[in-house]
Amino acid sequence: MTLRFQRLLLILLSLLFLLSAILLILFNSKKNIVFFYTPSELLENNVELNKTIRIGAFVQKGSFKKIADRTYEFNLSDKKNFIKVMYTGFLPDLFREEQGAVIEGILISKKLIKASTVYAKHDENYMPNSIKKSLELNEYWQRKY
Amino acid sequence: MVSIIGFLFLCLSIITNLFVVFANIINFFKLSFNKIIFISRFATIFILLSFLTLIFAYIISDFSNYNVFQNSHSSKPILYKISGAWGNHEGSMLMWITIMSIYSFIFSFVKKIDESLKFKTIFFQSILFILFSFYLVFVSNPFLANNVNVSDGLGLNPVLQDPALAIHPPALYLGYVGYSLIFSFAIAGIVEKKINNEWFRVLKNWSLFCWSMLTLGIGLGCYWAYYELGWGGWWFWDPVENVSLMPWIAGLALVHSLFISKGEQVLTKWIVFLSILCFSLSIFGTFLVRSGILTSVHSFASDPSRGLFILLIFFLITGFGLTIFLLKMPEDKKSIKLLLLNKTSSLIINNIIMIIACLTILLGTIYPIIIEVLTDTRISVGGPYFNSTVLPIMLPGFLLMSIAPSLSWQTNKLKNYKYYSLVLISLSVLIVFISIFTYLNPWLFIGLFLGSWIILASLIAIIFIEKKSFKLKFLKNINAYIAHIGVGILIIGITFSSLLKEENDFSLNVGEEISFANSIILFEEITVESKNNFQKLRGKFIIKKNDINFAQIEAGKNYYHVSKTITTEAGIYHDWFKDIYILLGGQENEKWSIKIYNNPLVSLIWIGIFIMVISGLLGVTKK
Amino acid sequence: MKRFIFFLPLIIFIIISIFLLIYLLQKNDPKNPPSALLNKEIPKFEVKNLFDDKEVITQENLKDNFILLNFFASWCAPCKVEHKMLFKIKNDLNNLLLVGINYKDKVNDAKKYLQNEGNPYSFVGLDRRGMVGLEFGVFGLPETFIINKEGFIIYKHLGPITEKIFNEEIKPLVQ
Repeated sequence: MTLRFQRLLLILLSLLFLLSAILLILFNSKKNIVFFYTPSELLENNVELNKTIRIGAFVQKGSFKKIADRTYEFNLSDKKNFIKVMYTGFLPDLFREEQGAVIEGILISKKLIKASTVYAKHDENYMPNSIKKSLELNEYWQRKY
Repeated sequence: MVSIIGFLFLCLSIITNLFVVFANIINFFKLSFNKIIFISRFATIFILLSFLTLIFAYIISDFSNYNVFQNSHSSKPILYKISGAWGNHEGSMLMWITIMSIYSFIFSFVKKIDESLKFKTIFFQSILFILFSFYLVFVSNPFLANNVNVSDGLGLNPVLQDPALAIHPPALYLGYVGYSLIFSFAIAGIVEKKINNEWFRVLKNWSLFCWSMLTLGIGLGCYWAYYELGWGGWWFWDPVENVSLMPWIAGLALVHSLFISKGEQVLTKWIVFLSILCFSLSIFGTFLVRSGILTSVHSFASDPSRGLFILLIFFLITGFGLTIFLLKMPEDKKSIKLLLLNKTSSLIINNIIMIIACLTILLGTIYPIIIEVLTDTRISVGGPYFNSTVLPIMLPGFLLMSIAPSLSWQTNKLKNYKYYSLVLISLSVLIVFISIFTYLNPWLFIGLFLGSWIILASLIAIIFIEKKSFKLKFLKNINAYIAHIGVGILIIGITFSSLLKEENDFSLNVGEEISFANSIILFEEITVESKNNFQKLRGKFIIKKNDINFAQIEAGKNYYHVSKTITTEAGIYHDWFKDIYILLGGQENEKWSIKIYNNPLVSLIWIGIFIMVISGLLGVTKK
Repeated sequence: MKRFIFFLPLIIFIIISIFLLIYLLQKNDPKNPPSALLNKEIPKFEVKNLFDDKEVITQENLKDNFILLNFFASWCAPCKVEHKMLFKIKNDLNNLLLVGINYKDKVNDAKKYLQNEGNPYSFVGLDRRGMVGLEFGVFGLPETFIINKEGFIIYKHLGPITEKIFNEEIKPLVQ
């Protein structure tokens, strides 16, 4: 093999890596990206059923119910609208009524989500900024007091 | 009073640095290089005094300082009072510039470097210092006075009351900030056109040191999340973690490129580019974290005006670096020997793979921002995306890594290839056998195979080195192989702990038993205890195997009065083969909800990281 | 072509910076200032008049008026700084009732303090052991709350009220 040919092979090999990386990224950005909504946005946009989504909002006062062992039901609300969440599992320490929460789950019907994860907040102010912004418009977000 | 002294020292340090910069541009005092370098050392002493003053203010709980008031409390143990000084935004930025200055201080004592090169490096380092100190003074001053008369402080975030965290930020910053010196040195090299063998040698040592520190910092962060935060895992592909991984990968590429060059002047452009990239990514990470732009489970003080300021710094430094790089592009003095499969070409391919991996992480991290700016919809890119892109991209790199040490520089031949193939075949047979008799999914198979192959290949390479001894000098010589063994151990640890992890939720009464992961766990009792600044709730668990009690662990929560927060204290039974990890949840109708994890081989992760850090540090001291 | 490759990092870097800048600026959209509505009802408390032991007020007395509730003490240096501002507030905003709570102080010292500095308050409560302060979650002095006619706390400020805070935050709330 000439030196030139070997170099050509090397360049082709690196291009191959680059190409496969791009393909991987493209493929996964379709599959593994989760959309993030507030309850109102969820109702406005017609989101497909059985799709994994995230919701950021507040746990509605008085909506938290224990259905069975480690199975809970509560409403996430942004004051205008709310959606019902069903969750089986371990609730994080900071999960309380009237506190912000972020959940990830599958949309079962228009107003019902089966959550797979309820996010543990590291502090009380944990909430995506853009979600915070939408909630502020509904005058729901309270500045740190 | 203390704050005023601290602020005064900070100002003195800025003035000294300004002097160093101006003395370089217009030298009206006609000072020699050595004199200016001598003066620049005072800047370090001043900033160090300033930082010590802040620590002192924390120790004596001087609540007339706003920063102390916000982040400390008089009833806190002394160790956490001290670590509180850098456990918050302002203090950590002060530490950032202090470390930056210490780097140039130590660098000013390095011998055998061309004087003008040394001088220019310190000059650029001073400019960087001034930029960051302006940031400190204008938007995050740790020496602000408190205009409220208070009897006690707001308390440090109890999550931060942990020994691992006392050293996690300093180690991480030693890595991040160290790249500022690499940046200055690289820029100084191309500006002064002094890229010679000495330049390569110095750059190699410093970049290896920074990389080792960054590894240590990230490792400690993982350790902290796993053992103290009770998150049940140690890596979550959270944006804050991603931004620390990007300079780490770029730094790794830099270390490897410098290894290809072996002190000869090849690949100069690429090396200078990587040096600029490492520091840019470090600032970029700081920007993303501090501006609050990212949604992260880690909480940091964030403020948009700070974000704009850091964005400006990021823009200036990276823009300047890349422009200088384009204008004063260095030329290689020698051409590299690039064959299909020699050491050089495999290292170059490895570099390309690392950069692609780095870009993939970058894209995944800022993708939500781009999408939101363009379409006003919000998305989140989580673990699955990174797992299914970054890992496959890294895979060929790992394969190369296993044979790379035995490749030759000059030819396409593989040294001692007979032994390698023998070991490879027997290893494959062994693992295939294991996978037939046990449950092994494809990823587990790949991970186990790769990890053990990397370890074995590195061991073979060590065995074939002729003069063996157990002296430190020999260990320094084989430090690259040792590092690769560390990576192999890490890969096995990661594969097993993430793929064979078992987790289960239970609802238990006190006194109840459950069986989990081949053992029986007895929930013995619940205790509540009052401590100095918190209240302790603990559940006592006894792990039994074959009717023998072999471990007893406590899981629970702490309630901190001052900040009214609860922290989860995971109960962990730890041995070389597995961790049993218990989290205590809430109580409902006499029953406690409990989450139990069985994480196999987690200890290998820490061992692997430890070996990587040690071998990196060994390399720094290598002649 | 080769030249282009070298420019690529700079181009990528500039694009990223632009995106970040837009994102940061979007977030600070002045049209959507963060709402400071705290909307909590004032806690239950009972406090004696500093000048008259027999007179007691509770949370009920604070309703039906805009109230500025100010915690102060004679030993608190920043309170003295704030004191002049309180007179200005009293003069500028007629519909606002100033209520002071003397926090962890000695009765005589407090009286002396108000004699020397003047008394802007319509009512001064005595909170010698800091129990009322505890209810309100008072952290340091001075600390100020604004309570609306329905008895909800609509604003809280820690530290002395400055001209700027008065003009920009308190005035718009009360008017």
